[in-house]
Amino acid sequence: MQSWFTFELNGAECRVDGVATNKTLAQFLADRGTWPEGPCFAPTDSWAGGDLVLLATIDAVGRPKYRAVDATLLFLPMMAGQDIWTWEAFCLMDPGHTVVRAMRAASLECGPRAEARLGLLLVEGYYRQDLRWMGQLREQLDGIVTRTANWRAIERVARQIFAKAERMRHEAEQIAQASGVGKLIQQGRLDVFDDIFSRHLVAYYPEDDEDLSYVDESKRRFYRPKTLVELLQLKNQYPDAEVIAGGTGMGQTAGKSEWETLISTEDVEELRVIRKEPNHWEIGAAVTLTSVGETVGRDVGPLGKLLSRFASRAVRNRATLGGNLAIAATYGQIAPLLIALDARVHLTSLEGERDAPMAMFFDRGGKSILRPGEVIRSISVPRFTESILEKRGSQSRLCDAYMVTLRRSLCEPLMTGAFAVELAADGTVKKAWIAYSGVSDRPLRARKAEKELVGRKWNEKAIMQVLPSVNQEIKIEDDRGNDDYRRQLVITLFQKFYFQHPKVADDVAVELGAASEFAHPEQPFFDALALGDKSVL
Amino acid sequence: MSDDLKNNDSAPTSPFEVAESDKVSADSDFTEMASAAGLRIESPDGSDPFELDDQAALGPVRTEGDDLTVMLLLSPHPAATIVRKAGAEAREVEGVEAVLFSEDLGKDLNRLMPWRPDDPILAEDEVLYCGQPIAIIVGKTTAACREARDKIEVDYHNAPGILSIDHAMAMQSFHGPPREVTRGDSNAVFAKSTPDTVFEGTFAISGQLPGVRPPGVRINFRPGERAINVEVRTESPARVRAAVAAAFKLPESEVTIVALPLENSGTVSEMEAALIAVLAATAAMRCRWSVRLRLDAKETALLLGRRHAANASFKIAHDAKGRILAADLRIALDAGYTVSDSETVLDRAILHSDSAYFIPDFTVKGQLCKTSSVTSANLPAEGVAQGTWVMEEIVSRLAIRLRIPVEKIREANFYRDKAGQNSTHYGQPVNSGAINRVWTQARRRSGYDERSKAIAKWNRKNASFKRGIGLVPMKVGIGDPRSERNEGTAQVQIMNDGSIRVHPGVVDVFDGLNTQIQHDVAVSFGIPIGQISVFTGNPETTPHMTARLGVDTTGLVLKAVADACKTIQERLRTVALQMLAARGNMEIELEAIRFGGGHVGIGEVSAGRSLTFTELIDGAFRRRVNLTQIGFFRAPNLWWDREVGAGWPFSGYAYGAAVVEVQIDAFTGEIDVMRVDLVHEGSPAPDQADRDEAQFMRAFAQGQGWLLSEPNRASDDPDSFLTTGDEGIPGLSDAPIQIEIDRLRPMGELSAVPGAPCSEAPVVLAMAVREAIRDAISAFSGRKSVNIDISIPASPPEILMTLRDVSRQISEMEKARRYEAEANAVPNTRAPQT
Repeated sequence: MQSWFTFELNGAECRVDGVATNKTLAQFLADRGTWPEGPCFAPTDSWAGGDLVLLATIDAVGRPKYRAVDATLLFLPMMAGQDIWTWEAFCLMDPGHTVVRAMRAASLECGPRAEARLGLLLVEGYYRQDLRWMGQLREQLDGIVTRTANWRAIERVARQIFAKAERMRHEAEQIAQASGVGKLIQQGRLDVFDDIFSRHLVAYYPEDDEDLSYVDESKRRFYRPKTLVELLQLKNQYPDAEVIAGGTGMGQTAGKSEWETLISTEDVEELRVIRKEPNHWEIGAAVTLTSVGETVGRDVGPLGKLLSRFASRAVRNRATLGGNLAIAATYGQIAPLLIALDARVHLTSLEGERDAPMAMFFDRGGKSILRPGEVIRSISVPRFTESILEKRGSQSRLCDAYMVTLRRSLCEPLMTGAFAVELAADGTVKKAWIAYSGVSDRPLRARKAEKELVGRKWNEKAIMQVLPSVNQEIKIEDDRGNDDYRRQLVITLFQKFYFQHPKVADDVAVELGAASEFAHPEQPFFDALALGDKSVL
Repeated sequence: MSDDLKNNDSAPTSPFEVAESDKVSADSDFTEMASAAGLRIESPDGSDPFELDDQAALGPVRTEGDDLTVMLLLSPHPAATIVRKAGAEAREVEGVEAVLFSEDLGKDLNRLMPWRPDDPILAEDEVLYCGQPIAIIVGKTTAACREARDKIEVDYHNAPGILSIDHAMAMQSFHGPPREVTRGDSNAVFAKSTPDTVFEGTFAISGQLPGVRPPGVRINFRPGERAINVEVRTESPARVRAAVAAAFKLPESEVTIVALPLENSGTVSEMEAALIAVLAATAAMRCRWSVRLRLDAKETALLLGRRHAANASFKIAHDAKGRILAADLRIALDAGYTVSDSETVLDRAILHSDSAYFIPDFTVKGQLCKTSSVTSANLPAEGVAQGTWVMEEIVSRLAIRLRIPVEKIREANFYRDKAGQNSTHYGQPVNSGAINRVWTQARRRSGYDERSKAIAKWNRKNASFKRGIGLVPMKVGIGDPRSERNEGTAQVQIMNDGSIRVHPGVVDVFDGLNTQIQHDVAVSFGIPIGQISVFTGNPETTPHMTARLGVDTTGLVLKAVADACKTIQERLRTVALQMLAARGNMEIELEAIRFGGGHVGIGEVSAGRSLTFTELIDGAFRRRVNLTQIGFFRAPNLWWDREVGAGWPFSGYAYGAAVVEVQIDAFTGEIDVMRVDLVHEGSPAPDQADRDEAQFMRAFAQGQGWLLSEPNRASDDPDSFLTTGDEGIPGLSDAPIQIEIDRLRPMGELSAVPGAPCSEAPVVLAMAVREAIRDAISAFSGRKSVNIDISIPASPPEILMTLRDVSRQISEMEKARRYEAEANAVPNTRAPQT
């Protein structure tokens, strides 16, 4: 055990001695006076957008990435060996940076905290390789919640910055193709921006340290093992230990709750991978939701859609799929979709391995079937390619999920519904999945209605016929309020699914609203063909 | 001397010990203590006190151990009698310095302001609202304070309390007499009207809790100094200073306020900040040490005021074309347990209840309700929005009743350019041309007419999604009806190197005012913007700071800056004249000297006809010319007599209009704001477009949050205030997808036009969102004349419930019609048989 650790803070080594394991990074920075307003005032509530820092990390396919993460949700020991920057330091380090200049030039008129939040999200977006279309803009900036934002100027600045990034990447790619180093750009190992932070990122490799085992002044322990075996051994050794993944759930009570022993899954190699198998995706439990969205989400449309509205970008950059399932929150918004996707969850302990269909993973009373000493290893999501569907005797598969919240981002969902049907060539339903969360103490499936749907033609009549069963089976059994509303949603969300996917042949969702008339989601930030965009910085 | 202190065993060596002894004598005189504090020289470890001062000079010491922590025990009940308070056990907790109840302060000191006897700092025998502070706990650590707080025993005898406006009205629980503004005789018109031209109804606006960041207060209390130093976050530092001074019977000149910038406008407003500051200061005085008070999210939500909830009932008489002939309005506002700023808010509501419409016979009555909730706050456009929205709601319902397009009804009722039809019910003239201009501009620029048609077409094709469009005008009075508030100050200092430092007399809320000042000063002295530094307002240089709320703060401050610049310029002109004369330019007129391009003079520098700015300042400094000036501006000729209900309360009006298009998802009740077109008068300067736009957007966002998503919490349930996932402040993802802004130059003479009244007024324009929702819902109903009662906030559950209600109304109408048809049909069919 060690009673200290170090991490890179703003390019300099920062040593932490004996600080409590439940202290957040935000609190630590506040006490150091690192936040713009000094230590007298509390860090922002994470629900109000949090206080962000920039974290250098390696994504699920091994590329170095900057991620804006919420320091109010990070436990300090998680930072051991990590590399973080605050916005203030970022501006001091590179005052001529595109993002800094663009923000200074625009009249954003927000305070230092909102500016830091926005700045870091823009920096993350600037170095993101996959941020290309207008439709992704709100996804990147959904952590901006303030009652006094100049929305219009923010969008304008973001568009300028991301267009510039795209243009520079495009130019670098053209040169790279000629010189044969195109692959390096894809791997994120070629500096295309020519600035300090780009060079820093390109050269970033995580520290190859030993396992972290840290003990604070009050003898509370924090472990960060490197292998699954070590993790399971620790879990066995400390049966009361709390397993912590991204920490975005537990971080909300940081400072108020204390844990004797925390075991982090963040560094466990086996849990950090996403594998694309011929028949399914294998998602490691400790993979962040951002990484899931960037890989599986591209392939499995509804998952990508749902994840893009999960909390906010900064939370998704830390929250993990395994962590989200393990806490078995009654309103958990991903579980119903995983049920509809026919996913399975793989559990492992020193005794051995077992797996369960997603719906069976949750138990009564807001619990899961995880035994003491057991952890989630991975989640496998089937890939419904044509050949696989054929094997299952179906021709097409329709699937979607709807999450209802009071505001679009950073909000606990009132309710989530996810639905899927597998259809034979003649349009009859071969199999159906109807799942909800946020209604009871666990995600529920309307099994009777699912059975009733089988064998019927996929049309409005069939929907109307099974609705009474859905209504009967799915009861609002918790006291989260809005009961009437949620009772109605049980019905209407399923109806919405049909209205959005009326066609049998392909799974192309019908756009129900008129949002694209106004938003132009497919419009690229930078169009190499449309030459001479003057608005580009 | 330090040796003396150290060696003297009998003398208390730590201020903490002093505090212990003070605690016993519960009724010790506080004023004496305060002045006595000036004589005591102590430090925590008994070392040389001057060392401490040296350290303090280097900057505040900010480690956990230094300041004492203050924590509050808040009442969990909205109304109760306190049967017993026991703190003995809590005082025993290690590390706790003091536990103070109201008895420990004494009747005399337990008052937030001496002139408000019903406003205790700590609850005495009765709890007045949910979250009222009951005890102050001072300790060395947060943990110790928390432990002590848990050990305090308070027995309550619960009372029902008054929790809503309706309840208060029934109980006749009011603050002060009703207020009334009348023109003509509306009753006479009602008497002449037929029932189908009289229309009555009620409308409720909820009072939401603004999304707040927990405020903090730090009291720097240095043993050895008489003055008290308060670091606080507030809109109105002058008010906090007055409260702290009054609480300790200190002269105001002894209280130093460090006003920290506010991140979100509308966070900690005036009275709450004063209360928190006084609570912390009480702790500091009692323990004679610097303290820190930081509320957590829940405490913040409980202690900070919400917007004023409003209940309005109305009766109007109209003609067949929808012209309102007479109106009788009653507005009741929930002021909370004490009035604080509510009187002005009521005034503003009454003064804006005409919106942009001329109503010949008009009576508005207003009443402040006294309820068992925390005092309601003065937030941006408070009162203005409530008043305007009531009238807009009436007009909108009238349109549905008469089945006339609502924009036609609005147009028919606008103020007109005719004698007797262009002044408000309180007698101030309105520029009817300006209303027409913003209105037609908004209609034209947004393509309102074509889009309405396109929307109708789109709606016919879509059963489960409907779109709606709303257009509202806006007329907002510029200024605060409390005429003493309509003044601004700013200090401008020119340094010896020619750089300029400005301290505006307001707290910085990051709304772009500083950039605007920088720009104005740079232009008036003709030097680059980079040479101007604008700092957040400093109550030491500009003690009479303008409160950040009130529709014209920015304008007042900009005028004050201009005033200071002008005075300094005049002094500099004389210097320049002398210096240029010394260079041989004898015939220069004083007025001809210009500032521009970094030069001062009348022509070429090379020809010796101008000086560089730096040269001039150097010369002025050598000639002992004062280069520091406090500028002052007061809006002229304002008065408002609340009792009589007449006056000239505003410097003028800001006019605007907004068109909003929304889309409603009938499956979930979710609303998308598709497009917003704002037309608004901005500041007269053409190059302020960006800043104005930022202010429009910020204000509009606040209004949208209020009307659409911010939840309304129960005032009797402390748990409903937990700020967790049900937070509803709109985020970037909730922002309108497309935003168009049209900024107009104000009409009329430039000198008479106030600065930039756009930091609050557009809150009102968010009503267009509500109008668009109504339009969309009415599309669901097939434009039938049904009552569409949309609640505030119009969150998805509420919208879905409204849709259900509307379809129920329609089916009942159908049923009634069928029944009527059958009833009519019956005699015919049966006739032959009988």
